[in-house]
This record gives sequence, structure tokens and C-alpha cells, in this order.
Amino acid sequence: MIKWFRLLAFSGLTALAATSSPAVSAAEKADPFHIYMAVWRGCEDACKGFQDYFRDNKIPARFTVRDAGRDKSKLPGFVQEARALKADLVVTWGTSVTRIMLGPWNKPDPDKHVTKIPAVFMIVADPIGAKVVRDYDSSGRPNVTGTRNRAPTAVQFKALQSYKKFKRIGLIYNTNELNARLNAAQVRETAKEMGLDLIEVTLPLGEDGKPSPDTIEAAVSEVAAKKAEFLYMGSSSFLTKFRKPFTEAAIKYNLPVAAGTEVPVTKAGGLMAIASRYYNVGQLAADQARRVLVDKQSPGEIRIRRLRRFSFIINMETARKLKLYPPMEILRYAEVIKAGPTQ
Amino acid sequence: MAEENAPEFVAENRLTPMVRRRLFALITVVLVASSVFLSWESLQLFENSLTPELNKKAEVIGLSAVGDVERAVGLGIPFTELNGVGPYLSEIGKTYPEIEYVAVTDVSGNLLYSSRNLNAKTMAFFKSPEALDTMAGADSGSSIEIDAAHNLALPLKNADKAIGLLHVGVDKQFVQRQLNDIFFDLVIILIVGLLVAIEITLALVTFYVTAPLERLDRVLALYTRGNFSQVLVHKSRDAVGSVAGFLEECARKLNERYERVAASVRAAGGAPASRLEEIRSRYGLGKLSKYFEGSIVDARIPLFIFSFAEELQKSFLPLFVKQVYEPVPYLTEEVVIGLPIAFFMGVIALATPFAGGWADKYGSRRIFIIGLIPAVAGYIGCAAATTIYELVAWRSATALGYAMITISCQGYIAAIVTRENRAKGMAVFVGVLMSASMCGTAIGGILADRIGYRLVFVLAAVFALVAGAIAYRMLVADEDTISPKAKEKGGIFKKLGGVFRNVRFVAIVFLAAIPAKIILTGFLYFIVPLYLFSLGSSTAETGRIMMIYPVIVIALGPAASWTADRLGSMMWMLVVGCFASGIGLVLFNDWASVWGVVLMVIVMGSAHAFTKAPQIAFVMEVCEADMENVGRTTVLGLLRTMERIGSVLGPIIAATLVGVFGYEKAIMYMGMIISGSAVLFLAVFAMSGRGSGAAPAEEKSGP
Repeated sequence: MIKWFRLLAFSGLTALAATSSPAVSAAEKADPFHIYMAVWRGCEDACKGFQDYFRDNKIPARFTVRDAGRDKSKLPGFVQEARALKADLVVTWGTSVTRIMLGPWNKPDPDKHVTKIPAVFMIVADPIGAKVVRDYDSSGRPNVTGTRNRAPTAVQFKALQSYKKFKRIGLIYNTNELNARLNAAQVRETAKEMGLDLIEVTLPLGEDGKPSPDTIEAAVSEVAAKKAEFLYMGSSSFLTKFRKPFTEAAIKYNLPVAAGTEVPVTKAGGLMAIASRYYNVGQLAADQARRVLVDKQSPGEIRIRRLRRFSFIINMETARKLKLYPPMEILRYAEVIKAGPTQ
Repeated sequence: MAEENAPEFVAENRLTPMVRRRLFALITVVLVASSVFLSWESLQLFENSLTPELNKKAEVIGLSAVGDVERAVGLGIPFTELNGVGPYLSEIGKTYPEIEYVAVTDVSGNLLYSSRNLNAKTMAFFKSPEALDTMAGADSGSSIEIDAAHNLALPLKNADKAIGLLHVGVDKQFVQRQLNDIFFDLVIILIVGLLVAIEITLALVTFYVTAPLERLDRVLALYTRGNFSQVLVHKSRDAVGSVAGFLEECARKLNERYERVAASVRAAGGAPASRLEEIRSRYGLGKLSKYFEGSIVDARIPLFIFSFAEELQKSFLPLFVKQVYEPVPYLTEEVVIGLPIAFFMGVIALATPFAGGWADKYGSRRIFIIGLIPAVAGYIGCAAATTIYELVAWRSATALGYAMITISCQGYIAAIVTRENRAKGMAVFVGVLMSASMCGTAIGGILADRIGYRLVFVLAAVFALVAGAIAYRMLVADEDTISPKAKEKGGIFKKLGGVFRNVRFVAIVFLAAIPAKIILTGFLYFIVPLYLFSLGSSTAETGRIMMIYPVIVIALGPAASWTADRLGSMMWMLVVGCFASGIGLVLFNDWASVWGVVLMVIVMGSAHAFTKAPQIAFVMEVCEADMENVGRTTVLGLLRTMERIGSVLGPIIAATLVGVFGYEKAIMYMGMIISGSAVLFLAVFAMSGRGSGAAPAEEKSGP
């Protein structure tokens, strides 16, 4: 019995939908809400989760999805378009899109940023560090609210310990990203609190001030040489982009990669992640949007929420390659991908 | 006078004990036989239905584990390289006490994972054909008895191919252990049933048969000696009633005849008046009075039932308090939990002197009934209490009722028995309290396990009301128990001052009597329930263990008085007894097991059995002079009142120690305090010398 309960608690994010508003209030509005979604790399899981939430709860809405395709220069145009279309709500995906379209919380520019239309952001690893919000109680701006999606570092490390006890953990990051620097500071603090040895390696920056993917393998080999038992992949747009070479190098040096987001595990060879599934984060953001559109709450008064439960995502293909199989206890509630018999 | 009384004593000794002995034997045989038969039948029934249930449960547990292992293999983890299976299986073993082992083998029966180390015999069985055949069979497992366990083998599959077996061993002893627990409960119920049945049967027989016969016997004895001054009052129309009626008729006629004769003699101016008067007084003629006496047994049943009701809470009260605990300023949690006991004892100490006065003034029966009001209100209040304050208030209410009811019964017995029988009467009083304590504590524990703490309090209220109804019916009317001299109180405190200047009396009070109460309320009533709970005991088990105390005190009572008579030295018995009562706590405190507590209670109970009587006797010995001044009752009353200080302090001291040191160390320190006070007690007596009017008994026992 306990087993099933735990399973439900871990993956049962559907409970969220139950908090949705009665369909009655939505039905009163004859024409649907117009929601403008600006995404960074296509309409992926969070984007889909957001839209499904409106459909599942029968809240009439139509979506205009604009994909930046990892090109920051397209973003100012999105702001103008959202205004011209008189959208009821703007949704931004990722730190870059959010920062450029919404601006800093303390001095947004009414010309360049969305300052009147209500906005909900999602998939922003550290909204305070990125200056998107003042604090988690309120964005500090009347028209902005959003969600955050990372599990606290201590929660992640404790989950790692339950997979395999360890003492030394490696961290590779690039110093030209604010996100990555903030995340590294957090990891450092947690490692100290938990009495773990942290092996930090920073990626060298080229003349253009940016790291090169060619430097990844060397960094991984350095971490491996210092006998790290896990390689932690924190918040970094650069490493997320080059997740395949990063995780392949790790497997080559027999290093299991643990990540704070699902992508390196589901879309590359990371061993495991303790994270909110993007689909669920999208639903949570949609719930924030419902509060704004249906319940008519002011976005500035809505907390920056995060899911209370996180998924333990395991890439079984990588586990087989590393011969590092998850313990029975974790298998009872983990989400296993790329599973299947090999022998 | 002694000769006059002689026939009465013979009568009493002849009649009652014989009836008692036979009834006792009969009840015991009938009850034991029927209970043993019933217990045996029900144990059989339990066993027959428990075993299949257990096997069914083992299968459910096993199939769940099979599911987990098959899922892991299905995810692509090689069967032989599964991670953390041992801890996973151990967790199952720990969760279900009836599971002896869970083990996983490969297709040839080689052990891969198990919840614990297995013996060679079991491992050999895994490789036997009868175990391995299960894989070939259908989906269901096979159940085979091996060694100490009942082995259930379940096939493990991956993609419809057998990969091994999962074995679940069900502990054969588990059923036995469960049955043992039930068996203990049954034994306790048997003992309690026996005591209650004997108590009630004897009381009823005495009330309706032997006591009326004794009264008849006494009236007849008066008549045979030629004293016709009294007639027997007997209300019911049974054999005794008709004899009594006939005798009354005779006596009345005799009187009438005397009056007639006397009148005619006087009229004739015959014999002188002095001669008539001589005849009149010799045969007790002239004025008929009613012969009636109450009996100790009148108070026996109501007192027993009421004390039984009160004792029901003993095995779990601190646990109940813990449930409603909330922080109280300036007090630690442990002390707060001790408060209801401390307040209960405190209210009894304060109320008893007043209640005694009321009983003397208004009559025992009336005070018994009035005392039920706060007592029953207290039980109902406790059943509904949700805060610590309510609980303290309601327990205090019950304490007031308890003080009124017990003192009224004591007063009733004192009023009824003759001076010579007073000791016997008080022995009955204490005996009833003790056997009620035994029954109540044990039954309360069993009940609490099954119906919960609150309902036990409701039950206590019901029992108390029943006791009240019986008291109303059985106790004689109040006019007969009102004490004529309920006044002479003046200057009592001034006189008592003198008693307190007696160093040896003070030493007995503070170094023997008070410590004895401290260990009783602090250790037995407060620490034992909490400590046993922390060791995992049920309240039924706690009740059984606490019951040991009154059992031992009663059982060793005769041996104790025998020893006291032989030894002669009350002081040494007191010193050794006090020292011994604490030493058990010092010796066994670090066992951290139920048996350690059992030993502590046994040692403490034995010690108390040996000090109870000597304590009173010794006080009378050292206070000989004081007793001449203020009276024996006053000195003993003072001892009773003073020792109640210990009852109040007990839970508070114990709670403070537990709060600071934890259970084991607190028990040890309590034992050291008690035994230490015995040593101090000895030192005081050694220093105060043997001179000041000491009894000769003490002379030969000097250090």
C-alpha cells in the first residue's frame, strides 16, 4: 500500500488540475482568451502542457505560438507583435526570452518590454538571480508572475545519495552566463553544508568571451582524474545546447551525470535528473495564467510558484553503459526512460 | 466480659470460615474448569483461523516483491546485477514481523539476494527439486513446511521465461507468540474473574446467609444466658426471618407476662420492689430493644466495585495525558504529564481529613453517594478532555470523590466492628483496595487496548454508579454510623507539635514513609506505563506488569507478619525493606527490557509487603509517649497524612528526572534516592541512640 501511495505522490501532478476554476466562469466569456506564447526552441513539453491545461479544463483560449529558434534578435519583434495583436496574456519560455521580453523587474523599459499585458514566465532556473522578479512572493511588477522549476540543490543531492552513496562530486560550468555562476554558488554552498567534496572546473572562454564546445572533454577528463563519483550538470544554456558531447564524454570517462533539469537525461546520455517534468511546469504556469484571466487576480499579487514534488528520471541506457543500476527502492517511484531488455 | 463474649467468638469462628472455605473451593474449581475449557477452545479456534490468514498475507507480500523484481528486470537490469535488493527485502522483513525471511534464487536455486542470513538447511531446500518444481508450475506459488518456517515459493519471470524463484518464509512461532499474548490476557481475565466471583459470592452469602445466622446465634446465646432484652430484626421472610419472628413473639410474651405478674404482685403488696427489680434486670425484661448490627461485608462490594472502576485508568493514564499534551509555561513535558497523578494524590491528601469529618457527621452512606457526584463527573470529564488543564481538573474532581468514598467505607467499617475486631476490619478494608487494584489495573489495560482510553473512563463512570446503587442498598442507614463524638478537635495542632519534636517519628515519616510513596506513585504509576510504552509494550501487558505489585503485596502479607513476629526488630525490617525497594531500580535500570521492569516491580513489591505492617508498628513503638498524649488514632492519622506528601511528590520527582536523564537513568536515580534515604534513616537511629524509651526489641538489634 505504501508503495502505491508513494508512487502517486511522486508522479501525481494531475492533482493540480483539480484546483482549476469552474468552467462556468470561463463559459461566460463568449470569445476565447488570446494567449501569445514566445518560446526559445519550438513548442516542447512545457508549451504543450500549458495548452493542454486550458483544453482539459475547458477554458476557451486561442494560442499564438512564436518560436525564436535560439535567436535573440527575434525577440524585440515579438514584443511589438503581442501589442499589435492585443493579446490577453503573454507567456515566455526560458531565461533568455523572459529577460529580453519582460525586462528587469526594477526598471523595465515601456518601449522595449511587456509592461501592460499580463505576462507569465516559465522554465526560468533562477528568476531572482536573473532579475526577472523581486522575490518569490511577488514579481515586484503589476503585470508579471511565473513559475520556477528547479528542485533545491540539497533535495537533488540527497536523491543522488539514495542512488549511490558518494563523497566527491564534480561541477563544470561556463562563467559567461549569469545563470551558471549563480547555480555554481548554490552548489558550492550545498556541498559545504552536506560535507561533500566539490571539484569545480570552469570552461575556458575564447577571445569572443564565449566557451567553445571543444573544451568540454578536457574539463570532463579533469573532473574524472580528480576522482569525482558524480558529475553535476547545473544551469547553463551552453551546456544544455551541447548536452550530447558533454554526456558522451562523461560516459567515456565512466562518470555518471546528474542534472537539475530533465533535458540532459531525456534528450542525451545523462544518467539521472531530479526535476519537475517540463510538461507539469507548463501546467503549473497555465494555472497561474488561469488565475490572471479567469479569477481576475493581479499578476503582481500571485506568488512565483514551483511544484512541490519532483520526478526522479533515470536513463536506463546510460545506467547499463556505466553498469550503475538504480537500487530497487528508487525503481519503485522513478521514471525510467530508454528501458528495455538488452541481453 | 470475656466469658460472655466467648460463645459469640466460637459461633463466628465456627460458621463463617467453614462456609467460606467450601465456597472458595467450589467457585475455584467451577471457574477454573470452565475457563480452562473455554480458553483452550478459543485458542484452538484462533490457531485454526490465524494460520491460513497468515499464509494469504505472505502471498500478497511475496507477489508485491515479485512485481518489483520483475519490473526491475523488465527495465533492462540484468537479474544477477540488481542493485539494493538485500536492503529492499530486509525492509519487507522489518515491516512484517511474521515474515522470517524473503529470498531470491536463480533457476538452479542458488541464492542471489535475501533479507537476512539464512541457515544451510534453508539454502539446501532452495535447491531441492520440490522447491524448483514451482517454476514449472502455474503462476501460483507452492507452500511447503521447512524447519522453523512455512516456505512459500513464487516464480519470477521475465518475458514469460522463468528466471528464478522468490521465497517467503513465514515464522511458525509467530502464531504461537500471538496466541501467547491472547493466552496471557485470558489468564488475567481468569484470575480477575475468580477474585471478583469470590469477592461477590462471599459478600452475598455473608450478607444474606451467614451474617443473619450469626446474629440469630448471638441472640439465641443471649437468651440461653437468660437475657431477653433484645429481639432480632430481620426483614426478609426466609427461615431466619420466621425464627426471628417466633423468638420476638416469645420475648414479647415473656415481657408481657412479667409485667402482668409484676403488676399483680405489686397490687397484692407481696414481694418487695427490690426483688422484682432483681428478676427484671437478671432477665433483661421491661424494655425490649432491637438487636441489629452492620457487618464489614456491607461495605465490601461497593468499595470493591468503586476501587475497581478507579484503577482501570492506572496502566495508561500517563499515555493518555501524553496524547492531550500541550506546553505549559515553566514546566517540562514530563512534569506536565505527571501533573494529573500529582494533583490526584494532592486532592486526596487535602480532602481526606475533611471527608472523614463529614462521614462522621452525616453518615457513611450519604457521603458515599455524594462522593459519587464528583467522581463520576471526573470520569466523564476525562473521557471528553482535550486539554491538559481539563484532565487535571477532572482527575482532581475524581480524587475528591475517591477521598469521600474510601473514607466513608473506612468509617463505616470502623463504626461497625468492635474495638477488638478493628485490626481485622482494617485488614479487610486494605485487602479490598488491593484486590480491586489488581483486577482494575489489569482489566483496564486489556480494555484500553481494545476500546481506547476514553471509553475506559466512560466504563469507570458506569462501574462507579453501580457501586453507588449497591452501597445505597447494602449499607445500613446513616443514623447508625454517625459518630457521636465528631467534635473533640480543639488544640489538636498544639498537641501534634509535640509529635513532631520526636526526631525518630520525623525520621520514619521523611526517610521511610514518604520515600515508599514516592517510589509507588513516581515509579510504578508514572514511569512504568510510559517506559513500557517506549519499549513497545501494549497497555494490556503494562496492566499485567503493574498488577504484579498488589499481587505480591497480598501474597507476601502473611509471610511478612510471620517474619515481623519472629524477627522482633521493626527498625531493621523497615531499614532493609526501604533499602531493598529502591535497589531493584538501581540494579536493573539498564536492561531496557520488559523483564527488567518486571524484576524491579517484583523487588519493590516484595520490599513493600515487608515494610507495610512494621512501619505502623514501629511508629507505635517510637511514639508510645506521644500516643498517650494525643491518642493512637491521631498519631497514625498524622503518619497517613504526611506520607501522602510522597504520593504528590512522586510523579513530579520522577518526571523531572526523566526529563533530564531519560528513562533508564531516571529509574536508577530514583532507586538511589529511595535506598539512600534508608541508609540515612539507619544513621539517624544509630545517632539518636537506643535510650529514649525504646522497646526492648530494638535493644538486641543495634548496629
